[in-house]
Amino acid sequence: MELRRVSDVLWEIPRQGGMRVPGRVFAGGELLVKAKEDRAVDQVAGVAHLPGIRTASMAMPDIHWGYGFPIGGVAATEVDAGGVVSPGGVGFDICCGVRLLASRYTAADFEGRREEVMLELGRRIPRGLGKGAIVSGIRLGDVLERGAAAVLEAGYGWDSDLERCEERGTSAGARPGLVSDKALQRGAGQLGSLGAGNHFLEVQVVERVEDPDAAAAFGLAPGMVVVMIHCGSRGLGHQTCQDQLRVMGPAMSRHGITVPDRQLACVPVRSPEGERYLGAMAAASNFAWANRHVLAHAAREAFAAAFGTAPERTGMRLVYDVAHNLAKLEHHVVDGTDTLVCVHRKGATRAFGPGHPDLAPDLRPHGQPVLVPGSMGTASWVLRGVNGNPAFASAAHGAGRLMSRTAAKRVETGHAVREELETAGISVRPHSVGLLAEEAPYAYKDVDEVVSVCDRAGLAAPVARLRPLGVVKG
Amino acid sequence: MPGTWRLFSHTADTGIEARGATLGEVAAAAVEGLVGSMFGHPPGTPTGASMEAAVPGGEPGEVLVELLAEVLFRFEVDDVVPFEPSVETDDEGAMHLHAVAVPSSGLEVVGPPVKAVTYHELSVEHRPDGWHARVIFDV
Repeated sequence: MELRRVSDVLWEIPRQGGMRVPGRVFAGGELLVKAKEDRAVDQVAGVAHLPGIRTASMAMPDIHWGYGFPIGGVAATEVDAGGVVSPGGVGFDICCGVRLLASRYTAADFEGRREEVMLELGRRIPRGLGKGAIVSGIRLGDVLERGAAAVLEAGYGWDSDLERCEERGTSAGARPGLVSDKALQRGAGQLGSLGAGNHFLEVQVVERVEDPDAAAAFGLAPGMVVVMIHCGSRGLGHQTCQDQLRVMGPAMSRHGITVPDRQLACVPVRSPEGERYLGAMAAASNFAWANRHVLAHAAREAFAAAFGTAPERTGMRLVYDVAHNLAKLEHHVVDGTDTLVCVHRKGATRAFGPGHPDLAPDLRPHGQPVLVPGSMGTASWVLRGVNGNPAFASAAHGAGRLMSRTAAKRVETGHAVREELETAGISVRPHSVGLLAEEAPYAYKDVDEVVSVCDRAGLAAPVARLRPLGVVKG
Repeated sequence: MPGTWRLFSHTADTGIEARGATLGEVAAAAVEGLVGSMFGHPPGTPTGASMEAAVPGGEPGEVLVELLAEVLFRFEVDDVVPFEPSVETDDEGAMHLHAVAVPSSGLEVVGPPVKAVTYHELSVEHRPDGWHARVIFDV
């Protein structure tokens, strides 16, 4: 696949064959080499076949191979010109995302109560295989309708949380009736659980602030202990995507659409099937917002128990909660015209710039917080959206995998990885030690390089670098 | 009786390739592969209730995805996984799974839980040397 250099951090795949637009890969150096090696670049070209796609099929610096869409893929289709919605452009883990909490504690405070904090988190955060969830007895239909607002009313979290959530923690247009019985059964025992794989809850410290004004507005300060949570819609979302993909193939044929990969199955946004997908997706998203909201509540209770205080005295205010697997209808200027597009972000994060009306007033002057977790044991970052973003207001979502799980397990054992992390001062509470090697730092790309490319490419600007102190994993 | 299966590398997720003399054998091997990607084999002869699952006929790849998705559903909701699988098929390509449902709680974990069965690079085809299937799982 030919790549033409536009700049050190932007490479273009020229239109060819059935591509309706070019491909654009925001990457450079080693990140670009790896993207070419695992064929993720080929997938960028495949996405460019989607009907109604505008400007380019894009990929963020943490791009790697996915299903149909690459992980780190961004594609915007023009809604009123036959543009399509593709469940593969959202992913099975609908509304997977990241939540970040501030606190009143310093690293020294944490060191004094490290064992207690990790013990309390280990007790209160369900994770890994099998059932186990914080919330039971709540009407699931209400959660699917209203997301974080539903669990807030049930007594989880704080009122102030919602203004610091993307979509205020409620995806509009949710149609809970489109979520299948199977999805409901899977989700029934999972509200308030991390899951497994690359999902985690991590205690971190703000190691370095690059943008003091934005950091202060976000609620961050140098040396502050923070808590980052990465998870999504669990089995309910996975089943919803599976259910929608099943019908999407035949529906696509009825609309006369063909795509180079079955996982790129799609239908026009303005079609009964497209509207049903978006309604089901919004309902599953609401489960994810509620899930992270409940886990944050549990994290506050854990710190309170460890420090012998009340949750409301921990200072654990919400910095932000962002999704990185979602399709959203947004207005963007395309070729000089305000255009309604369906922006698919598959392993990519929304990154609205300063002044955007959807941002809370205290965030609006600085832009939207963008949360970029690194791999276990390495740094994570807080960025901010910037104006003039060339990718439909999108930025990276993480470090991106470098090697397969099988290959990662051949490098070291889970016990060795745990030992190395503990030696580096990072407490680890895994559900399964044996699987830790799959999530080891060496299995992921360099998150600092990902962030550097985001900055140089005008996708998002760095605000603060976070260093891990302890991790709870599935 | 199932055929054979093996894991293959995928950057972020797990893939299996399965082979069998018949469509039923390759489907049973794929079921073994799904389970084997997550759990070790229990010691001795697997014991548990009978597990049955049926999927209507259609294009073989689509039917296999549905069968594997049903196995995944039973795992998440009922905490059981199938061992000693066998799959019957008919002229329309319907698949009927028979297996022993073993509780997952006592099994050795060897891989991350599978979230979903994807259609990505899905292939179920008959070749001169038998049936071949390739399926990628989202983990």
